[in-house]
Amino acid sequence: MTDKGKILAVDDTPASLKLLTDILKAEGYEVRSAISGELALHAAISNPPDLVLLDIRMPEMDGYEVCRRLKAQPATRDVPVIFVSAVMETSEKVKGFEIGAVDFVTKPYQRDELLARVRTHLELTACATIWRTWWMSAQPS
Amino acid sequence: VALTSEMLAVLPADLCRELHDALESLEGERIAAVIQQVEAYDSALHKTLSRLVENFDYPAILKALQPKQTGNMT
Repeated sequence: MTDKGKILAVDDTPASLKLLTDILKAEGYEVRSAISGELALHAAISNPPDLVLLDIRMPEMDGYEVCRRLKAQPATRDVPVIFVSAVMETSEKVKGFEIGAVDFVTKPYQRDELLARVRTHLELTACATIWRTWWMSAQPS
Repeated sequence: VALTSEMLAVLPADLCRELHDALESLEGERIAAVIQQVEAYDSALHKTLSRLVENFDYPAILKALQPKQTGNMT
C-alpha cells in the first residue's frame, strides 16, 4: 500500500518546513512542501491532498487567506486544514475555525501530538467520505 | 550565488518547462529528477539549484524561469 495519505505542508520558514516534512515523511506520508501560500494553493487545487498543515503567519498570502481560498474551491473544499502556528490567541483560533480549519497545533509542537492530530483528522475525513457515499446511494432516486 | 535567467539559458527549453512544472507540483522526487538532469549541462548551476531546492526556495527558481518581458508597446 502506497497510501498512508497525501499531506501538503506549508510554512514560510525553511527550517520549520523541513522539520515538518521530515517528521511526516518518516511516518510514511506522501508529503509536498510549500514555502509560500501561492505555491500551496496552486498545487492543492491541481492535485488535492488528503490534509493540509498550514502556518498562519506568512508574508503576502497568510494561512487564513490560503484556507479561505481552499474552502472556496470545490476540489479542495473538503480537505481538512490544520493550522500550525506559534501565535495562538483564542480569538485567532476562533477565526481559524470560522474559516474552516479542523484543528490547531501550537509551535513548538511535540512530534507525537502532531502525528496524532494528523492521524485523527485523516480518519475522520475518511469516515465522513464513506458516510456521504453511503448516504447518497441510500437516497431514493 | 543568486540565480538569474541568464544562468538557466544553458538548459534546453523542454528541461526548463519540466523544471517549472515539477516545482509547481511540489513533488520532491519529480523535482530531484529534473535537477539531476541539469548536472550534465552545467554542474555549477546544478549546485545552485540543489541548494535552492534544499531550502524549498522554489519561488526563486520559478522567477528566474519566467520568460523575459518583451518591450513591445501596444
